[in-house]
Amino acid sequence: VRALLSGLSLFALFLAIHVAAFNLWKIERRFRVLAGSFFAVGAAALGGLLPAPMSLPWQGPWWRWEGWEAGIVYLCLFQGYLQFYFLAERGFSLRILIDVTRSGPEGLNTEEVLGAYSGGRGLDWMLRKRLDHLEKAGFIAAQDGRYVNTPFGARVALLSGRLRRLFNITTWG
Amino acid sequence: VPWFVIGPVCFIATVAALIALFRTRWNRTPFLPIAAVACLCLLSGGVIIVQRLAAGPGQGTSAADIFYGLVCYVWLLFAFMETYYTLNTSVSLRVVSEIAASPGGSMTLEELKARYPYGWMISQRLRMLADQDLVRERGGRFSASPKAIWLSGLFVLVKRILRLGESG
Repeated sequence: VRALLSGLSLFALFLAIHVAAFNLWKIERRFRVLAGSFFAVGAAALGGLLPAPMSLPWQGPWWRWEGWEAGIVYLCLFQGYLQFYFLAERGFSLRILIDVTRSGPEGLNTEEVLGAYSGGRGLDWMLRKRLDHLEKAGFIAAQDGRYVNTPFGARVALLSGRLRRLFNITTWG
Repeated sequence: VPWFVIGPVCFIATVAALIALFRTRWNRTPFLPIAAVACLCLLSGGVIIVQRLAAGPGQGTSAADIFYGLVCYVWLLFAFMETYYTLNTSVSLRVVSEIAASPGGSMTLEELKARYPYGWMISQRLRMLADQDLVRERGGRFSASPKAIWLSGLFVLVKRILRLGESG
């Protein structure tokens, strides 16, 4: 129970820090702040800097330390939250759904969905935003008006192709 | 059996079963993977509980190990789902893959749009949303279902709390 409480309270602390940071500052690279908050809270707990029940004292053999159990609870909650966060932050289908919902009972046709995307910014904005993120994250590089994969981007493309074959994903993107 | 063995073993069994399932004709049936995971969860949980009961009082896998094994399993499953949905629906990953597959390994924005047209992207997503009864089509127009209205409302609220702006 102590480990479960520790994991839950660590996640609550992470969530409070991350929401506060997102509200207090205008953040460019949001994921860095999100991951940074997660690791900072984890490191503070490991270093015994946080009060009980967040930090757990080292007791018994290392493989039976309750901190591992607290850690897995914390990690599990973070992983679940990450899926939720990414959906809210850049979910393409969710964005379409919000735009369709805003259109009311009349709805939208495909052409109107194209134009209404993200409050009227359209798909050109969406694609440019993705390209910009890919460039900043080191997946692609722009050379003389053409986009090329960096060695890292090429490895990701190769790995994703192999995984898609393994999972039999035929229509994607 | 310690939890850090239970979680990964159940996870590997689930992924193996899912890969086999993805290769059948039911591959594209909505919610089947979720149902398969739920069945496997129950099955592995049942095996562990039976093993615990058979071992007698004070022996076998402890309740704490079963619980944290389940937490570990859910964590791995979340990571797997994230990977699977990224492979399936990520626009960014599609862009990187299109560049990799292009002759000479480079593309202009116009070439990319020709290989990955906006119309196709939108109709693909609308079809997916319609399959999940989130949008309803009538005469070529798509409107939100009641389920979609509260789901959109929830995410608009989350975006507001996190100050994510319109995003997408």
